[in-house]
Amino acid sequence: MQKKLLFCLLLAATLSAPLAAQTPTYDISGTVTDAVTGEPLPGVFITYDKRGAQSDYNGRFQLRNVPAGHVALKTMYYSAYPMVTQEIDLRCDTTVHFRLTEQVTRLDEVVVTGTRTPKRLAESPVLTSVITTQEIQRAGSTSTMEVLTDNVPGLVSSSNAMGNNLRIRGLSSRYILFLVDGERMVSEGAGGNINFDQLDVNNIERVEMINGASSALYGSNAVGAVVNIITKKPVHDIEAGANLSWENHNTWRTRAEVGSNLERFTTRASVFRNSSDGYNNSATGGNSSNPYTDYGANLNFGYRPTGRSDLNFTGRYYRHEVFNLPGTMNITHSLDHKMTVGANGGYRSADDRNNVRLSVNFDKYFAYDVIDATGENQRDKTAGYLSARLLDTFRPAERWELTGGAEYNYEDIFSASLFGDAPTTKTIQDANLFAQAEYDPIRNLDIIAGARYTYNDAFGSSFNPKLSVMYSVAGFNFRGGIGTAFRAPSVEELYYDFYHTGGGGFMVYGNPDLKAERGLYSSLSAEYTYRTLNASLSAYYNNIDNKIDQYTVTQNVNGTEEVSRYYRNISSATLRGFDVSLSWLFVRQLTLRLNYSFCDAVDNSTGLQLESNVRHSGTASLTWNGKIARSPFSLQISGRVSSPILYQSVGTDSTGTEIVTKTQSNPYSIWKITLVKPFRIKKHTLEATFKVNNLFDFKDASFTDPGRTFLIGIRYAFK
Amino acid sequence: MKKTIFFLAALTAALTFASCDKNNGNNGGDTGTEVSIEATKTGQWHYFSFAQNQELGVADDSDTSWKERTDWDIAINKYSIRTNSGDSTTSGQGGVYTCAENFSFASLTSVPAGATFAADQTVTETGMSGTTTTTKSTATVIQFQLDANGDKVMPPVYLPSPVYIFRSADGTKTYKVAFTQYQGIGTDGSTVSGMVKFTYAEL
Repeated sequence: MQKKLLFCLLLAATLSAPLAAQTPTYDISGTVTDAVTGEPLPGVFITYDKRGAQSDYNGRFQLRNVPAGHVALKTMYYSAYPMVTQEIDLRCDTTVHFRLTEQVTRLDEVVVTGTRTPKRLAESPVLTSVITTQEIQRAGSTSTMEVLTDNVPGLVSSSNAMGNNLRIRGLSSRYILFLVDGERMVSEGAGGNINFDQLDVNNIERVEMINGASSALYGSNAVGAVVNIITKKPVHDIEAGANLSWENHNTWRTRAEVGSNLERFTTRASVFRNSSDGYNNSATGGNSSNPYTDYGANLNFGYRPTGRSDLNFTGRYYRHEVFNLPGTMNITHSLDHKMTVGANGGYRSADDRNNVRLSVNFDKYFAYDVIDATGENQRDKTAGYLSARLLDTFRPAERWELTGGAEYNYEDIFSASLFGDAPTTKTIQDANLFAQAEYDPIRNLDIIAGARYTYNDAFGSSFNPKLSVMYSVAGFNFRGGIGTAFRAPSVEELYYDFYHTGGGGFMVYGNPDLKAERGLYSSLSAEYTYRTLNASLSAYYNNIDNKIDQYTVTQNVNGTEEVSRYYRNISSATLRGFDVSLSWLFVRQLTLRLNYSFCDAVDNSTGLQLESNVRHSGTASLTWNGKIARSPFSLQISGRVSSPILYQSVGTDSTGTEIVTKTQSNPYSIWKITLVKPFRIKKHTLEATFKVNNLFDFKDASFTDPGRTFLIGIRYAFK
Repeated sequence: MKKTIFFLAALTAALTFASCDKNNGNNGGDTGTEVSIEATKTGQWHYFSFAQNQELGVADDSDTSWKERTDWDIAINKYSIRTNSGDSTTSGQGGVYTCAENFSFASLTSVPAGATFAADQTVTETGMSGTTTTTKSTATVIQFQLDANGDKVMPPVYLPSPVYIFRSADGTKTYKVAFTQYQGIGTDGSTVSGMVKFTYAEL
């Protein structure tokens, strides 16, 4: 911070030196505080004419030798605190006090997922939900999965040793596109599962979510929703932190991080270790969770050679070992490694009209079986995903924004047994061209049209257009959109060739002639903002065709019955529903957030609900940002409510008659309470968190949860 | 004379005890005899005799010739077990008694009072591969862990079975059996299910 101030002063001195004789200069000093809590805000940039200073740990700042006359001071801080402008007529040394309000409605928050270009949330033509790091901290979320379950209504997770088996609105995780900083993650395991524990929840800056088809911008899998997890970038000259928390069942979570943001270079490195003894409630008819030990590391480098170009490198490593519960007779346990390497660079033209970005990202997953007795391991499966993209945004005139790009993806999967008797590697690649045009014909109207052409070496080509319109008037934002999406058949669905030993034993064969599934999505929404209230209502219709399904063939071979399973594009599904969302700072210190979702998800060939769909679901949280003896704290009670999880299927019995099975879980509501108490001394912050999970000890057969647990955590940060 | 009779009686007793010792197994006493059976192929039963401490043969599920035989006591197919009783035989007198959880192999010294031996039954199962009908015992090499819905946990978690007491095919002898292994490492280094190991001793 000292260095920066000195640099600004020198710059100011050299630039203003020739003018010094002509124009008098004065000093501007003052403080920056949080308008609600009164706490000083350190590290806030106070700028004028691209020069400026940062507030210190007491919230004080000083700008020296500012030329007299009209000065527009602007604040720049975390995205949760929108920019404030103070215009003064400088005639003498002046004091200015800034009071920044943390924006509950977040309209100035910058989002990127809807259009692949940064836009203010209020101006994004695609309705985006945002979960910020402050919300994650106040909820005491200890995992990325918890962030998603707390904030995405209709999300059902039935974790077992094979993965989280996530479903949103009855659609499996293959229909949701999960991104980290805009890049895909490789899917692990047969069900397309992604283990979100590889992402340190403390590294999340925000999560952006858009519902519905986005294949025009993102390609395959963006059928049900796109969830983009944006990681933290360093803000201060030097920052460091460490966390430690304990929860029931000997669950320990520890992490440490260090980062720095200097003039041209930014660096951020963090490591974490999570472990738990798991729990076994099978004796009392409950569910179990295996013991595990996880290690992870994250590294980011950024280099800004000029004000208009930047270069970034990212590396991530994750090790996940799951052990057998005591008393079992299994002789092996699983060990996974995950590695991500990425680089991207951007250049912005001098007139600010052209913005080019080139990125390459490589994500690799290794699965091993470790023999308990000897420690020897055997490679079971590896999966890799390589993505390269060139993206250009061009603003030819004030009302136009054109985006275009080319993308190449390559996926490979190695399995010891799934693709035939011998260990085999199977690959899929695709090449894409996409373009998008945004036009504002009149001031409050925004039209965006885009299309993507994909050529996939497994199924051929796919063309996906999209159209969105947004009209703003009197505090309302009306948005409408229609677009198509596709889901490419997975490597497993195309090339499976193995003997499934469970369930009596049967062969599973992939189908290399599978075509892509196609979705048509249309939605209409209204969003209203008035002071500290933000509410939105969104209705949608999503029709998915050519849905890939398994079917069974029974043959009589030499007197024995042989059963085989195949894949084909056979069914279609229709999803209809609406979402309601509300966030409201209704009393000076109380914030209420509510989400409700209704979804009717039907499998058109049977008329039954898609597996694990939930008709009514919601999340709610009430946060009290209070003060005790002038020291701030936050207390939050939050919960999620859901109608029964539906399991409906059609099967044939031994005589060949169709039987319809409809079962459902109990409806449920799960609540938690979190208290966060920070202590700030100069540049150091020590924060204590107390949390009670599953407050009312809800238990249900469909729900893998240890019951009520207590968490104590402590966080240290240096900025 | 009395001395001779006494000496002969003592000798007979000694010989009897000696032969009893042999019947108790090679390891002697409470540690029992360890047996390995590689019943790794679904649908193939491996037939075993306790008295001979030997695997007698392997046959397909549909092979009914073993029903007539009385030389085998139990058969193993992956985790399923057959005893020479009920529907698995025409004349066998075998059966199984499942001990309570608090009995360990070493602590079991005699057949508990009032124990009844369950005979094999014909079972029809509908699984992912269709419907299958076979005869088997209630005893299994391992128990599957079930989730709260009563479904098998996936991937399978194998829990130890309780100690079983099997009756021999002729109905005269009883053997306590503890299954100690279900999974093993195959020749190519991969995990194989059905590499069964158990320890048995006559009761």
